[in-house]
This record gives sequence, structure tokens and C-alpha cells, in this order.
Amino acid sequence: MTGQFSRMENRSVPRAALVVPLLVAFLLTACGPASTAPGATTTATTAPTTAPVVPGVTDTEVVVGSWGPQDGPAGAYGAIDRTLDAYFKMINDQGGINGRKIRFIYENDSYQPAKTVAAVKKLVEEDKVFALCGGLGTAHNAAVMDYLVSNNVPHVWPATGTTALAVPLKKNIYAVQLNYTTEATLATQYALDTMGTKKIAVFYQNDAFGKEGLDAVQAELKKRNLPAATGVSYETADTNFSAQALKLQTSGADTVILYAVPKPGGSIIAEMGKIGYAPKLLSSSVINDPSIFQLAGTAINGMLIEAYLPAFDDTSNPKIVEYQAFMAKYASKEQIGGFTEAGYAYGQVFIEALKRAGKELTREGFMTNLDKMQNFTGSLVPSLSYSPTDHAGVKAAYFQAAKDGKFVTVTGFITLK
Amino acid sequence: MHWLRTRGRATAPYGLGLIAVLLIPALLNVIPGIAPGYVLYLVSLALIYAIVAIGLGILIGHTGQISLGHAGFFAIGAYASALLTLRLGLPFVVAVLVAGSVSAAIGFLLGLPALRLSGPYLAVATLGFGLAIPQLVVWQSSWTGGSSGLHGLPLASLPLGAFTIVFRTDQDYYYLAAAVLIVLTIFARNVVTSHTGRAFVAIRDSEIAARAMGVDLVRYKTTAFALSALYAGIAGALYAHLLHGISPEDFTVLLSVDFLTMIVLGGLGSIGGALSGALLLTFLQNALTRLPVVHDFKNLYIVVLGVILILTIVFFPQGLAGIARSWRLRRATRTLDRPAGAGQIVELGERSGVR
Repeated sequence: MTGQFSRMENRSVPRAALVVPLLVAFLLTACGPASTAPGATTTATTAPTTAPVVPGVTDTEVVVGSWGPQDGPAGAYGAIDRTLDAYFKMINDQGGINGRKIRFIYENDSYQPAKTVAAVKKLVEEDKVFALCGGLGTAHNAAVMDYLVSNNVPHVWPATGTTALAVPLKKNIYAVQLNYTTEATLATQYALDTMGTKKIAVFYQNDAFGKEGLDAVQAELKKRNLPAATGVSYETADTNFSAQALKLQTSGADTVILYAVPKPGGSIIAEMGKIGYAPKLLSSSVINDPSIFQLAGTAINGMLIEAYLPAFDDTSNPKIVEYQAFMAKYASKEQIGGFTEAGYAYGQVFIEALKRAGKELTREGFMTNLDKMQNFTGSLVPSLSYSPTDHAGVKAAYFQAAKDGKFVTVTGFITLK
Repeated sequence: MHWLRTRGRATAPYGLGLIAVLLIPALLNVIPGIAPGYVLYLVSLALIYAIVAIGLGILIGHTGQISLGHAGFFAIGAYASALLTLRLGLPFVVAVLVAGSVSAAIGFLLGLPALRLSGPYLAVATLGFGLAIPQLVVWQSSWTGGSSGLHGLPLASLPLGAFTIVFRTDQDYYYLAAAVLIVLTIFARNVVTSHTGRAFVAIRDSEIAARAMGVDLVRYKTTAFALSALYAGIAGALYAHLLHGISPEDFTVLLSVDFLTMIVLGGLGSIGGALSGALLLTFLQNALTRLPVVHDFKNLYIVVLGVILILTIVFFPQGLAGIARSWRLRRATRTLDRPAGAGQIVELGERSGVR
């Protein structure tokens, strides 16, 4: 048997010896360029003129980048970047900002962090973007956060509600979206103080998003020396929610707060209706999708849902009329809905920041001026403020109520107590 | 692998490869219009995927055992090294080695059911494994960080006596990935040309015949699984430190399919094929995402990729390695006009593909 499998050839060259020159080589190179800082700082050294060269800025153009999935399971989010692109086209048609047209480059990362890193490196090092706007995803933002901070690339409105981007403060990252902690705290306060809730249960997605919601509810209850809420979780792959509905019912809670995406959220509401359990319902803004009404049936009527942008179909709001007119002219192939509304709002906020940065556009100037923004109401975001120590963005929300297949606004803006 | 086989030519590809590895960063620095950091990151990523592909090639191409769950081993290696460096503060080198060993041990265990399963049954079992790992990560969120993942990993470093090399830039990390890949390529080549490798091929071609010849199926099948898991584990560790952070979203079942595609594109049963398949697919994917986004047809790049793969399977079923092989055979018969030697008989045997 040994003969069968013995080596057929005699290798005279010791292969390991070939590795030695390689080791020497990368020892040398690793010691050499390691001292030079990576990224944007090297681009500035090639400046031939006296004025400092700002990445992505010429007298006639400013380059802006973004990333998000255009395909794959999360491909629906792609509408955000495409709407943003359309918004910048409109601005360019109107003559641009401070004499500069916007060149917008958005990369498709297929919702895979390894591709996000590649996309952001390309945007920063090859396309030399001035700033980013609307980079999407919690894990994806986390994957490039340190890189963007060390290269000091401004990122306005990362498309995620995680608190980690703004707390602790990153000088160049400007969050806008109402974060999940603030959102869940607002819901808890509203339930206890306004709705007369005695006992809360939380139905949440078993991940960073859902847990941030649950933790905020528990923290608010603890602050008031109330017993902890019953948490009932689901996995994104779950399709049957009858067990969770029973658990919520046996908890005896009179109010259920939902930290769920549309499909499981709609299903749990239907299941609770089926077993005759009718608590008061409060939900995070992420559930806001028309499909929820088919899934949940009549049991959803009366549910309160948090929102920080005005309802995208509320044509009594002049800002929404403007948004819908924009959609008809520049993005007629996209749907009127939460994603395109967000993309439109991203554009409004970014353009305002660019206007305020003035004619002499630098990254430092851009950020300094953005830090001075106080109660800006010129976008779909009702009110936006920043300071050098606070980049958390929106801190107020209002409630809509589900009524016969639609969400209708029922409160004004509410802020934390 | 055969491109190294003939004795007189054996060192030439190594020399050329080494020169290429050393020259790439210098070349990138002089080509205008491209950012070296971005390209080197992509190359590093491709080299890391190539490590997985070589290991998977040993399992599928040489041993004939299918796996649709190698993203699972990749994830195990990534999480093991991330936890060891982040939570226990172990040195990078130790973390990589432990990550590879842990992955290999789990590979060995997954090899046990493979003794009874074959074909589609084994495919489903490994698929289940690949799907389960990210779920376990989410479930054990108290130490894995759950869906948000682990971030802020320390820089990779290599202590050499009094010195410590820190891999700080994209270029540093590129050299690290290249060095590991070269070492593991040589190791894989030695394995497949050893009696272990021949036992693998015997199992692939006929389990009954292999047993009749005295090949211990239990030993060699589990070895093949452990070996390919070792490669995936080491690659996962390198991946985690390339990105300085990981999350379950990195390790979807699509990644397992990508790995499988790499070795099919490159050519089954060929180490050189696995390597070139990994490089080609990574760059192809990246180049194709640069296609314009056409409205109402958002997955254009996946379609184009699919067409390329179908064309490969139909016209070049032996992949890139098959193209190179037939080209070399033709040249050899033309210039040397010598009768087919033992080496070529083995090569022709490999054309029968995987059973």
C-alpha cells in the first residue's frame, strides 16, 4: 500500500527556502511605508499651488459619495441612493451650489461589509470624494467608521438608527435619523404618562436594532422604579409567531411595544388578534410600510407608530407636495414611500450643509458651519440642530395611528422628558 | 498544481509569482488614476478568498466531497481570532493559529457525518452548517456581539525577535496575505502530491476501489474536511483583521456559493485553478458592480456573472486550469513531439472530473 501512494517525484528544490526572500522583502517594505499615514493625507501632499487642495472640490464641481445595496436581499434600500442621485440632478439643473455642480457617486455594496470597505476606499482614495451622504447599514457603517474618522471624511446622515455613530461623538459623522434609544424612550414615556399603561411587554427583533429598543424601554422603567418589561424576541428567519403571541398574552401586559420590521410585526399583530389578546400597541418607525395592513388585518387599528419625517402621502403638507412633485419630475420610476422620502430628505439636509459651507469649500469649514446649525426647518426633517459636542440629530418624534389601511397623524412633536 | 509538477520547470512559476507579488504595489503607485490602497485592499481580499478556495479545492476537487458551508468555517476562524485578540488580548499570530485549529477541529467533526452521506445529502448537511453558524453568533450575542458584530480589532502584528512588524497600511497587509497564501499553497501542493493526496483522489474516483486498495476512508475523509476547514479558518482570521471588524452579515450562504464558484471557475482538482478562480471572481464581482444601474433591472451584475459562469461550464468545464492545461499540452506535443509521459496520463485522468 505504501508503494501505491509513495511520492512519484523527487523534489530537489526545498520550497521553504523560497519563502525566505519574501519574508525579507516584506519586512523591508513593512518598515518603510508604515510611517506614512494612509488615505487622504497623502493626496494633499501633491498640491502644486498655494491654496490647499480639498479632495473632490474644484471651482465648478464637488464630488459626493454614498454606498448601499442595489441588489440582493436588501436591494429595496437602493431606492434611497437613486433618489438622492435624482435630487442632486435637480440641484444641478438649478445651477448647483455656490457655482459648483454636484457629482454624485454611489456604490453598490450588496449589503456585504467587505464590499462596503472596498466601496468606501474607492470613494475616498480613487474618486476623492469631498464628503459622504447616506451610507447605509448598521454593520456597514461600523466597518468603515474608524477609516472615515482617521481620514476626516464628513459623513452626513448615515442611513442607520444605531446610537453608536453619534455616541461617543465623532467629529466628522453627522447622524440625523431618530436613534432607536431615543425612539423607544419616547414610546415608553408616552405609554406611561399619556396612555395610562400599567404593564409593558416588548416584541423585538433579536439583533442590535431590537435590543437597543428593549434596553431603552427597560432603562426608562428602571428610572421610574417600575418592574421590568417582558421581552419576547423573534429571529429574522421566523415565519410562525403563535408561540410569541401566547407569551405576550401570558405576560399580562396591557401595552405591547414593537421593535420589529414590517413582516414579523404584521404577523404578530394578526396572531394576537386571533387569540383574542388586544393590548394597546406602540411601534418603532421601522414598521412603516404599506404591506403591514394586509398582514395584520383589522387587529392593527388603533396602533400608534412613531415617525420623525412627515407622512409621505399627506398632501395637506406643502413640503410633501414639493416632494411628490420632485418625484414625478426626477424619479418617476421610483415609488412614493418611506425610502424615497428619506433619500429626498438626505439631499435637502446635505445641500443645506453645502450652502452654509460657503464659496471657500473645505472639509473643516463644512463641519464648522454644520456644527452651527440650529433648528433648521427647511427640510422634511421637522427641526435639526448640531453643536460641536452633539451630532445625534433628530430627538423629537410624533405619533401616527393606524386607521383602516392608513396611518393618520394624531399628535404633535414630542421630545424627551 | 501540475504547473509545478515537471521537475525542470518547478522553480520558474515560484520565481515569477514572487516577483509579481513584490512588484504589484510598486506598479500600482506609478499607474495614474487608480488608488493603490483601494486596489491593494481588493487584492488582499482576493488572496484571502484564494486561501479558502485552495482548501475547498482539496475537499471538492481532490477528495470529491461537496461542501456548501465553507462560509461557516470562514466565520469560525474570523470570530475565533477576533475574540482572542479583542477579549483576551492574545497576539495576532497566536490568534490566527488557534482560529485555524478550532476551525480544523470542527471540520473534522463535520467530516464524520460525511462518512455516511454523499452527493446531495452531504450538500444539504454542509449547507445547514453554513446557515447555522451566523445564527449561533447572533444567539450567543453576549460574547459574539450578536448582529452588531465585533469591531475595533487590533492591527495585525508579527514579533520577530527584538522587532515587531505591525501591518498598518493596505500595502503591509497585502504582503501578509500574500505570504500566508504562498506558504499555504506550497503546503497544499505537497499534500496533494503525497500519498495522502493520492488517497484523496482514490476516494474521489471510487470509494469501493479505494477501500479495496486499503485506503482508510474514515481517516482520509475527515482529514480532507479538517484540512479544508483549517484553510478557511486561517483565511477567516486574516479577513477579520483586514476589516478590523466582523458581523454575521459577512458570512451569508452566498459567500459559500462564491467559494464554490471560485473553484469551479478555476478548475476542479487544481490548486492553480483555485487560486486564479478566487482572484478572477473577486475582481469580476467588483468590476461588474460598476456597471450602470438600470432602472427596473437592478440585479444586472448578478445576471452578467451568471452568464459568464454558464459559458465557463459549457465551453470550459475544466475551468481556467483546463484552458491552461490544454494549451500547454498542445505546445508540448508540438515542440517536443515526445510521447505522453506518466505525468500527462495523470493529467488526462483528471479530465474525468469529479464524481
